[in-house]
Order: sequence, then C-alpha cells, then structure tokens
Amino acid sequence: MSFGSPLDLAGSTISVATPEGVRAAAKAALDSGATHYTDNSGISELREAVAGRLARTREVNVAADGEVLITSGVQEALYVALQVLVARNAEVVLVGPAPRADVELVEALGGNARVASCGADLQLNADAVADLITERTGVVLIHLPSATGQVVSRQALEVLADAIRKHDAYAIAVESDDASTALSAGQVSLAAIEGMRERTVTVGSFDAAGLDVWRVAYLAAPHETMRAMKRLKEEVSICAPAVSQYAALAACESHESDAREQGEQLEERRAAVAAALESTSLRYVVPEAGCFAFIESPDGTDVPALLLEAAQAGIRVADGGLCGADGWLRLTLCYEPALLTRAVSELAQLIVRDPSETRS
Amino acid sequence: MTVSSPSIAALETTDASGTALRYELVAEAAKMDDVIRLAVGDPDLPTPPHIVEAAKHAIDTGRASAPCDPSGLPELRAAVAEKLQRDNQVPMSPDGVVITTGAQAGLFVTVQTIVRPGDEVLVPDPGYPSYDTAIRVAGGTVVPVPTRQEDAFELNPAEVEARITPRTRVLLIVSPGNPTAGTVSPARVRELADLAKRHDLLVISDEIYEKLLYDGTEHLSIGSLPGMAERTITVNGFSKAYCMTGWRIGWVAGPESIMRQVAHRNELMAGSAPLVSQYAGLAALTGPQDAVAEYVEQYTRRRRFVLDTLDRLGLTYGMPRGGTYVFFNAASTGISAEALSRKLLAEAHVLIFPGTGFGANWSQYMRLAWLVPEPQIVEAMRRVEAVLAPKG
Repeated sequence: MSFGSPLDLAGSTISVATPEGVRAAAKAALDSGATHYTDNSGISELREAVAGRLARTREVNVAADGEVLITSGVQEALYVALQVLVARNAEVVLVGPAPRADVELVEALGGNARVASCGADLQLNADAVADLITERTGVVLIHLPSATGQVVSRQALEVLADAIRKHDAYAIAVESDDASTALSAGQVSLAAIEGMRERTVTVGSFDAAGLDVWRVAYLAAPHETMRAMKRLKEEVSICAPAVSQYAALAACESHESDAREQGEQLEERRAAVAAALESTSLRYVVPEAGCFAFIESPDGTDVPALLLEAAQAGIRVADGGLCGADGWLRLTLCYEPALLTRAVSELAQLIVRDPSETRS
Repeated sequence: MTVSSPSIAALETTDASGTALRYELVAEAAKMDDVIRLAVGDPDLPTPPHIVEAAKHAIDTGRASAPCDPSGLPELRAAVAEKLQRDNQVPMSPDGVVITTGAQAGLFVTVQTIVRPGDEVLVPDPGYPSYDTAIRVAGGTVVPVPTRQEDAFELNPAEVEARITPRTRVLLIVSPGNPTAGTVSPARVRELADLAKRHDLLVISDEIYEKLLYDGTEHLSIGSLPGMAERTITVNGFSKAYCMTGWRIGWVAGPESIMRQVAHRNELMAGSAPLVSQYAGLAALTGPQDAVAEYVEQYTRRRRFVLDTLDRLGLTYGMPRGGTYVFFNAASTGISAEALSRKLLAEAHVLIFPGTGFGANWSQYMRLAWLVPEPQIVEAMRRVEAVLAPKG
C-alpha cells in the first residue's frame, strides 16, 4: 500500500481555511492599530454579535453586557468555567463520551470526575447520565454535539435538565459551533431547555471560520456567574487577542454561509467513509455532526500496536479514547472523499486480521 | 444559584476593593471629555511595522490557521531559547520553553502547576495583584515581602529570608517591577540566588520589563547564575518591549522537568497561544531591534518630565529605574491617594490610579504610567501642577 506520503487522520480537528473576508478583517484591524488591550470582556461589537447569534440560532437569550465574555479560546473558556464552579472535591459528572482532557482538567482542579458512559454506538444514554446526577453533583459537563459528533436530542437534554434542576447542580455546555455542526444538524442548546438558562454556562467558538488556533471563543452565562468568570479571566490572560476578536466579528457575519459550505463538504466525506466501511465486517459509527468517524476495535485487539502498525503502513489514526470512545479508533475526516475511501479500505484490512495475532 | 468554588473566595479577597476602584475610576473617566489617562499599563506606541507585516503574511498564507503544537511553534521556542542564551546568559533549550497567551497567562499557569495547596510564595510588596490571585487560586499563601521607597523599592534579601518558613516553596522576583518600577541590582540578585539555593526554593522571575531600563541600570537574570537554571522559571513576553499588549503572546522557560508539567497544564487550561501572534512574536525576536531603543528613548524623555514635575510639587517617589511607571507618595498633599485620584480626575481631567490596588499598605501612594504621547504627558503634568501647586 502506498499513498505517496503518510496520511494523518489522527488530528483533533480538521484544518479549516479561514475565509477571505475574515482574513481581510483581521488585517484591516491590524492596520487600524488593533494591537492594544481590549475591554477585558471583549470588544462590545463581538459580544453583541455573539448574543445576537445565540438568540437567532440557539434560542438562548443573553445580554451582551454582563452575560457574554470573550475568551482566549475554548480551552480557556472551559478552564475558567470549571475553576469558578468546581470546589475542591466537588463531584463533576462528565457526560460520555467524555474527552480525556476534560477528565484531566476536572481532576487537576481538585474535582471528583465521574464519567457517565455512553451507549454501545457512542450515543449518549440520558437515563444513565441522569442516574449519575445526585445531590453530591456540583457540575454536569456536556459537549453538544457530543465529543464524538453525535447530535444530542432535545428529549435527551430534557431528561438531563430534570436531573440537574432536581439536584440543584450547574451545567457547562461546550457547544461546538464548527462547520460540522452547522445549523442543519439541529443541535439544541442546553440553555434553551426550560429552566436551564439560569444554571448553564455555554462555551462557544468560531471554528466554522477556521479560528480555532486564533484563540478566540466565548462564554455565555447568567450575570452572577459571569461576574466571577470575568474576574478570573482578566487575571488569567487580561483579554482575548485583539486581532482574533476582529476576525471573530467578521466570522459572525459570514457564519451561516461558511458553515453551510463546510458542512456540505463534510457530508460528502461522511458518506464516502460510511460506504467504504459498510462493505466490511467492522462495526463503525459515522456521527451526523463533528469531523470524525469511528471504527470499533474487535475484541482482543491490541489497540496501541494496531495504531503503530497503521502508522507504519502510512495511515495515522487516533485512539478513540481521546474523545471518550474507548475501544474505538478515531478517524478525522480531513481528506477528500476518494482518499478517505482508500485509507479506510486499507485500514479495514489491517483490522480484520485475527485480533489475537501478535503485533510487534 | 450561587457559585461556590473557593477560587471565587480567592478572587473576592484578592484586593477586590482596589480592582473595583480602578474600574470605577476608568468608568468615570469614560464619561468625561478630554481626559488624559496616565493609568493603564498599555503602551501607546505602535507595534513595529515588520512585526505586523509578519502577522499579515501568516494570515495570507494560511499559517495563522494551521494546527500547532500546544507548546508553541518550534521556531519560536528556538528563538526564545536563543534569546535567553544570548541576551540573558540563561542556558536554555527549546524543550524548556512554552509559548503562552501572554506573559500573564504564562505566569498564571506556571503558578497553578508548581504551587500546591498550603505552599507559601514570597512576593514583593507592593506588587501586581494578579500574582496574588494566581497564588490563591492554586491554594497557596501569599507572603508579602515589603519594599521601601527609600530603597527605590528594591527587593531586600534580608527581608526575604526573614519570611522563609518550612512551607515556603517559591520566591517571585519581578525586575523591573510593577507598580514600583523598582529593579533588583546584580549584587542583590546574587544574594537572592544564594538564598534560593540554601533554602531549596523555586524562583519565578518575571522579566517582562527587562528592556526598559534607565540611568544605566543593569538587568541580571537570576536563571543565569550557577545552580539557578534548574530552579528558575523565567516569565517574559513581547507586550512591553515591542508594544504588543493586544496580541496576547508571551512565554515561560525553565528546567525541562518542570516545563513538561507546565506545558501539559497549559494544554489543559489554554491550548496553544494564538498562532497569528506567535508569528508576530517570531518576527519580534528575529527581526530588527531598533524600535525597542526608540521606545526607551521616548520613555526616558517622558519619565524625566514626570519626575521633574513631581519634584517641583514635593511629591516623593522610589526612583523608577525600569519599566513604565513611577510609584509616588501622595502623603504631602494631606489627602489619601484615592481622594487625590478622584480630585485629579474631576479637576484636572487626568486619571492616575491610587496605590490601593497594589497592596494593603499603599493607600498613600499612586501609580503613574507614562504611556501617552509626550505632548499629552506635558499637558497632563501641567494640569496636575495647576491643581496641586500651592496657590498665591
């Protein structure tokens, strides 16, 4: 097998080209002197754009002043939210599939992480999660869509919301705004569920415009919680990068078209991978959102050895456990359909060999 | 619902009143016309053009949007390591460098990594309040080490040593300092190094203002001294030397065994620094350095004008040997620094922060930043003098 050069399907995200309009806005901002500190909360135009977008696309109503905070990326947003809400030894229920990095972060902050396992096909099991939420639960952390890319239904969210409200817990919802979600996938925001606005912190991003590594994202939360998060964020990094904020502002204006275009591209890739895997005997999941596909490792497979063998054969894939899919291989949909089809076919051949065969 | 994390308590007790007062004064100033702000530590001068062009090039070529190692661009880490060796004589490899979203973020994540609950951290007093916050959020205890106006707010090793206990884990050195602009002389840096080794302390050395020095003041990086590289974490960045505050890019550097942990914590808490800013930082370190000298020249003139005015008014201060501030004593005005700050804002339309936000004992002091163009410095000091000079 030869692809000319190794294929890397192990990335945590797909590389999205930043649209021309966003790049132009960033450069114009630099030319206009956007090289100084901004308001600690972020430039007002961006906060207003975020509030507007949340209302328009997510049915979440927040005030731009006092309930929206621009952060230096999603990871900082998640850290700030957890640091504010998680007392030492507090119990945090992470809704599976839960990224390993989330579990690590909770534990690093002194929290007690309880991971709610997902279902057999990496789907969220709402009743199982609700059973895990008790009076000891301080925070429930959930990704929407899930970390593997599955859309979580309104019905499932309502089950979780009941449990969260019943036990007076708080929720942090990391709501992907990247292209793979788009608007057509129909993911509902947790804060839009009845009774959840006042106890939900929403983490959002501008990834549809390829701004992941520009380190700009946002938090939306009720005023009192936001006050504490703003105070912490200021101390952590003062403000989000100025040029990135202006890029994000431009991204807000072109979000719908960017997301639609990239969503269509991902749909083609999902279809190609699903078709290639359908002809194998392997169990697989190609979520309706996100940028991944998953192949289940047969029982007895030495996953690290398999990953190494695949890499040596020219295909890098990742351990699905990174995003909570233990026992699965994760493939990032970062190539054109034809190349993905070939890669998947070659990978499948490696996997369907006798799993008890020793891999060196 | 109320939030219940102890970190909130830490934030609320960390000089909340000083921070709130600063916000209040800024908000008040925003409602007024013709206010000259000698308050916030944000240089008015522009980022050098070649740095801006490098960032724009990264945007155009798509590099600013490509995935990046969470610890930073390899070439930027290498450039930082080279700078440390060349300029500071601190032995460093790229593996000991982590690029962060500003020096402040680097210091924050470093403290979260190395300070354990109950650890004591020695911190110069007065000091930048964010140090205290970082330490308290980590569960550590801030141990203020007083500095004195008559010593130009230089950190005194004897005062440091007097406060060391079995729980002391970290010594924080900031030179030049904020708000005092005090520096630590090479002789005292050596004493502090000996002390750190004797008591097996880690040292965090915040050197963000290292390039901004006056009157022949010398900067010695403590990490360059024998036996110190293995226990020193140097924090620095681009905001002050290159006027890049809004880019949010800095770095921390130290022994690889510690920096691996810092890198991991940074990945969990922040992810990589903004890539567009990393390319800007690379251009800052590897490109022409003329602009830095020009900035220092401008600051030197502004500093002189400010100090001359303070002298005429009989307002004493610790000589600012570095940085962009003077920390002056307002006691001779007969009113508190807070009252003076409000008076100057109301009557002179000049905003200067009171020292309340920099430590419990500094309510008589004010921090003036010379970070506006020279004509505005001249006008601001004229107005201040008009309000404060004896009448008749």
